[in-house]
Amino acid sequence: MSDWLERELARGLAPVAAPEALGTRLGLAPATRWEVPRLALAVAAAVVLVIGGSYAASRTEALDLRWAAGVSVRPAEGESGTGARLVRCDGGAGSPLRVNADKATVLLAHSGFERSAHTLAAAPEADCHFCHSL
Amino acid sequence: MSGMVLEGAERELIEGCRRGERDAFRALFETYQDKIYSIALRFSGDEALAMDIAQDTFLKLFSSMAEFRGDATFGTWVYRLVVNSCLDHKRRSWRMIPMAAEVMAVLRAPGDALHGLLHAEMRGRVQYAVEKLPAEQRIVVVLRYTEGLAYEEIASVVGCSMGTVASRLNRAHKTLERRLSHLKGSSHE
Repeated sequence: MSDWLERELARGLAPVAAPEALGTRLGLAPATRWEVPRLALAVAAAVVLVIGGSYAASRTEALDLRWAAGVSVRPAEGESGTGARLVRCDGGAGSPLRVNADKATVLLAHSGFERSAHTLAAAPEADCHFCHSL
Repeated sequence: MSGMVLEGAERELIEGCRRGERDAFRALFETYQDKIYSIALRFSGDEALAMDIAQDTFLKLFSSMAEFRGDATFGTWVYRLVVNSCLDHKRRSWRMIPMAAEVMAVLRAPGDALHGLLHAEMRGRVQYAVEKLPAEQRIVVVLRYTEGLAYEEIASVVGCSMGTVASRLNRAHKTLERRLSHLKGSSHE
């Protein structure tokens, strides 16, 4: 056989790369990595920070209000300060206190109420109207 | 797998495939896809048919992994599968302008377009002449010139003696010389 034919056969029958479609047909195409857009990630992080920060600030504010009120809180006369009684129609309980010179009630529990409501009541007695006005 | 001579990575791949691990199948596919597709394309001369042959070969490969006993090397076993797939597929009786894609690629490429065109023309004629060979001669030619296998390896893949391989190659060469002789002076280095 001539060198010429040998050379042309090597050229004409040279190996080729398989098309990507072959992998797709066999379900073996390279996996595409799902990427979260960086902008969306930054916006989501900012939203979480704002919401979280606002919540934390409001919680801090609520706590500060209790102490910044400048009031003297102690158990009502004749009360030990360790008990509670039912003050709401839906199961809320309160503890009678003396705030400065006035009677007050600390609402200790409130069914379905999200915040832990150690709320000082200005009224002498807590009742449903008071609770439902929160 | 007693008596099987495999390199570590290949052995792990085969074991992974036998366990049905997808990553092992993918790695095996990436290792052999170009070899299998090249043989299929050079044997059939048709891209669509080559895709079918390559797909069939991989499906056989994945489904019959447990049957590999290690009597031959894994590479030889893969070659046998693709050769059998080639011979199983009936040849298409027509081709759509075999040179069109290659000529268009040459015309789009920078440099000496005429020179490239002549080479593309020559490659197309050689491929066409090979496609006209009888299947048993054609597969031997493809394994020799596309994969560069030695006579002994071809004999192992095709399942015949080295003498038969030499005989088939010799007959193929004579046929090709006769069919392509008019182009002998027209190839450019």
